[in-house]
Amino acid sequence: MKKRFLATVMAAGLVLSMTGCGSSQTQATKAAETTKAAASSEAAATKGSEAAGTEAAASTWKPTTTVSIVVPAGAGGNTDLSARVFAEYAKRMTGADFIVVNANGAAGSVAANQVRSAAADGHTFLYGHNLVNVANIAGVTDYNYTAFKLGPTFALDPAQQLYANPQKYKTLDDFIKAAKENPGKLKACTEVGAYTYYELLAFEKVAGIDLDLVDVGSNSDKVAAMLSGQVDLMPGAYINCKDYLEAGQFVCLGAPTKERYELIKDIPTLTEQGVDLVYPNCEFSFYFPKDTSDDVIAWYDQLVKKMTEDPEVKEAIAKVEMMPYYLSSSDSEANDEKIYNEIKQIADDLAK
Amino acid sequence: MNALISLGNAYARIFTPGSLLLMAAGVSVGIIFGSIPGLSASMAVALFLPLTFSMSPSMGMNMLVAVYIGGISGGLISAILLNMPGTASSIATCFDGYPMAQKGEAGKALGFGIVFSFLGSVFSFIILTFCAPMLADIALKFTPAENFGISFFALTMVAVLASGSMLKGVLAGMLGLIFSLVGMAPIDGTARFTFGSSSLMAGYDTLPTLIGIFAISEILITAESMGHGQMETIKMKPIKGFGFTWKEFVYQIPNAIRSALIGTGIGILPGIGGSTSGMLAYVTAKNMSKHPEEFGKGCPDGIVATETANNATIGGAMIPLLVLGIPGDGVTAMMLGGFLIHGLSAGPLLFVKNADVVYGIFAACMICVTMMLLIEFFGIKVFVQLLKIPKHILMPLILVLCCVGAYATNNRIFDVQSILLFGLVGYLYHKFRLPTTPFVLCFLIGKMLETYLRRGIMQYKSFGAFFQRPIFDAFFFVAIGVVVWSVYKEYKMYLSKKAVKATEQS
Repeated sequence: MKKRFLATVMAAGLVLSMTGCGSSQTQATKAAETTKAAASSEAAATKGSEAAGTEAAASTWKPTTTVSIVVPAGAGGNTDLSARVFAEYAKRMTGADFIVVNANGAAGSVAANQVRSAAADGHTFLYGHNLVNVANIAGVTDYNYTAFKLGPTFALDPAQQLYANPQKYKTLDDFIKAAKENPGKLKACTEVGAYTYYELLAFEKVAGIDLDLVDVGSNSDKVAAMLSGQVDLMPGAYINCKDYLEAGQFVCLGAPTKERYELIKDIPTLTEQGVDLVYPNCEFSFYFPKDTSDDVIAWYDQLVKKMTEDPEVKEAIAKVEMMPYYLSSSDSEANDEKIYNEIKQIADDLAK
Repeated sequence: MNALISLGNAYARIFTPGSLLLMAAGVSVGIIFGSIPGLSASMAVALFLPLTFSMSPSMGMNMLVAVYIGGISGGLISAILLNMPGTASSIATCFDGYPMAQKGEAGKALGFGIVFSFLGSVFSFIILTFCAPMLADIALKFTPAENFGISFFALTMVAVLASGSMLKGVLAGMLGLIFSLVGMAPIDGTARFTFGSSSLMAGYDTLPTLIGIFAISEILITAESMGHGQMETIKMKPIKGFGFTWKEFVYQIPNAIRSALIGTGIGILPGIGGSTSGMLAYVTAKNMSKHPEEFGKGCPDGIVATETANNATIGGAMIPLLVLGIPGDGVTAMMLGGFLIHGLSAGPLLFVKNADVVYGIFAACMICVTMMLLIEFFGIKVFVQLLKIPKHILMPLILVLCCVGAYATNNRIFDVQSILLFGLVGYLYHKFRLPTTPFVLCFLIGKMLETYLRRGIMQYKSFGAFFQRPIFDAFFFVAIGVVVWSVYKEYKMYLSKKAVKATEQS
C-alpha cells in the first residue's frame, strides 16, 4: 500500500515538475495559462480603462500572460526567423513572454483562422507578409487583411529574387533567351496560390516568356529540386539561398525591386537589366483579431518602433539577412491595401 | 586525417562540465518528452529552440541534438509499458513490447529497446561523421517520382502486416487513406471532406491522430476491462544488467544491421518522414524472419528492428541537413532555423565556414547517445515502477497529458477533439477485431503518396515517364512483387485451412 502511494506521488511529481520546470515558455503551462488569460485579460481591460484618462500618448496596456506569435510558415523560413528575432528581443525588452507558434498549412489559412478566432486581448496575433492577401486573391479564403486589425510592421525582406543554375544560365538574358527558344519547357518552382506564384506569373508576362510552373513543395524542397537540376528557376529569399550563391551552386538572375537594397547590393535588379518588374517586398507585419482595442495596438506600435531603433535588434535582424523596417499600424494598413491591390492587379491582368 | 584531428578537437572542447551537464539535461528532457504519449520529440526541440539563443551557436546546436536523441529513444518506454507509443517512431515497438510486458518481461523488453536504440544511433552517427558528403548526393537523386515509389512500396507493407486476415487489413488501411484525404488537396488546395469547417481545412494532423488511435483507445479499452472488477498487476521478473543474454544479443545482430541500414536510408531521404522507418523495419524483419508468426506475440526481434531503425534515422536525417542544408524531417527543419538564427551558414558552406560547429555536432551526437544509454539503463528500475501505479490513477493522468499534447500541436481545440474522435475509431477497431496498424500506416503515407504522385506527374508530364527512372522502377516492381506474393501466401493459407476443415469433418 505504501509503495503504491509512493509510486503515485512520484508520477504526480513527475507530471507537475514537468509542467513547472524549464522556462515559462513550456507549452504545457501556456495551455494552462490561456484558460487563466480569459480572467486576467478582463482585469487588464479594467486597469487600462481606469488609467486611460491620465496618460494620453503612452499605451497603458501590458501583456499579462504569454503572447503567441502565430506564424503561417514552417521553421527556418524568413517569416519564422524574423518572428523568432522579434520574440527574443521583445522578451528581453519588456519581460513578457513571447513564443512563436508555427501553424503552417492550407496556404497560411490555418494560422489566419487561428488568429481570427482567438481572443482579442493582444496575446495572440498573426505575423506574416501578406499571405492573408495572397490566399484571398488565389481563392483559398474568403477574407483578406480587412478581417484583421493591422499592427505595426517590423521587418522587410526584399522581394524574392530569381535564382538559377549557373552552369546552364549565367545571366538573366541567357535565361530569357533559353526560355524563348523553349516555350513551356523551362521549369520554375512555386506553390499554387502563393506569394511567389504571382511573382512568376508577372515575370512571365513582362519578359514575354512561357515557363512551366511546377509545385515542388516549400523552401527546402525547392532548394533540393534546384540542386538536383529538376527545376531551372527558383524565386527565393536571400537568407535561404545566399550560401548556395556563395558556393557557386546558384546564380541570382535579378531582384524584382525598385532599386538595389544594401542587403543584396551585388545583385542587379530586374529593371536594370531591361525587365520592368517590381514586385511587392516581403514586409512583415502584425495582424490582430478584428476587435482588438487601440490600446493594445498602440503598445505594440511603441514596442516595435523602439526595437527597430535598437542596435542589438538591428544586428540580430541583419544576421538573418533582413532589414528592420518600421511602419505604424495605420501606415501598415495602408501598405497592405496597396500590396493587395498590386497583386490583385497582376491576377486580374492574367485572367484577361 | 584532418577530419580525425578536427573531431578530436571537438571532443576536447565539449568535455567541459558545463556543456556535459547541459547535454545531459537535454537528453533527460528529451526522454521525458519522448516517453509521454501526447508530447513528442519535435515538441521538445521546438521548446528548446528559443532557449538556445542565449548560448553559443555550437552549444545551442548540441543541446538540440541532445533533445532530439532523447526524444526519439524515449518513445519506447511508454510503448512497452503502456501500449502507447510516446512518439510516432515507436509505434511498432508496441506490437511486441507490450505483449512482452504482459508476460512479465518488461525489463527485458526495455533492455533490448535501449541497447539497440543506442546501437542504431551509433551506426548512423558513424556513417554521418565519415561518409556524409558522399551520401548527401543520394538525397538529390530522389525526385517526386522516386519518393512516390517508396511511398507506394511502404503502402504495400500493409499487405505484409495484414497477413492472416488480409481482407480486414486492407479494409483498415483504406479507411486510413480516406481519413488522410480530409482537408485541402496537395498542390491545388481544393477542399475535400471539410464540410465548410475551417478547422478541417488543414486536415487531421498526424500527432493527434496517433495519440487518439493508440493512447486514447488504449485508455478506453482499459476502462472497459476495469469495469469488470478485477485488475491484476503483472509480476515483473527481476532482471540482471540489461535483461538479455549475450547469445540473444548476437542472434539479433543481423536484424539490427538491416534495420539500421533501413533507418539511416530513410533518414537520408528528405521526402520520407522518420516515423515510417520504425514500421518499415518491423515489417521487413517480419517478412524476412524464419518465424514470422511469433511477431506480435512478444518476439524481441520486433522491438530490436523498430528501435534500431528509428534511432538510425536521426543520424541519417542530419546528413542532408549538414551537407546540403536540406532538412530531412520536422526536427531537422527546426535545427536549420537554429543555424540561421545563430548566423551560421546552412548549406554547402557549413563544412567550410563553420566546420567547428559541425564537428561539435558529431562529437555531441556520440556523447549524447552514450548519456542516453546510461540514463535509460539506470532508469529501467524507475520506469517499471510505472507498471505498479494503479491504472485508475495512471490513465486519467495520461489522458490529460494527451489532451495537452494535442492542443500544443497547433494551439487549437480541434486537435483535442480529433484525439477523442480517433480514440473512438481505435476502440471500435478493437471491438471489431480490425488491425489498427494498417490504418495508421496508410494515414501517414496517404498524404505523401498523393503529393508525390501529383508533383511527379506535374514535372514529368505523365505517369509513364516515371518508368524511365531506374530507382522508381526498382521500388515499384518490388512493391508489386510483395503484393502478389502476399496474396498468393494468403490464398495458400486459405486453401490449407479449408483442407484441414475438410479432413476434420470427414
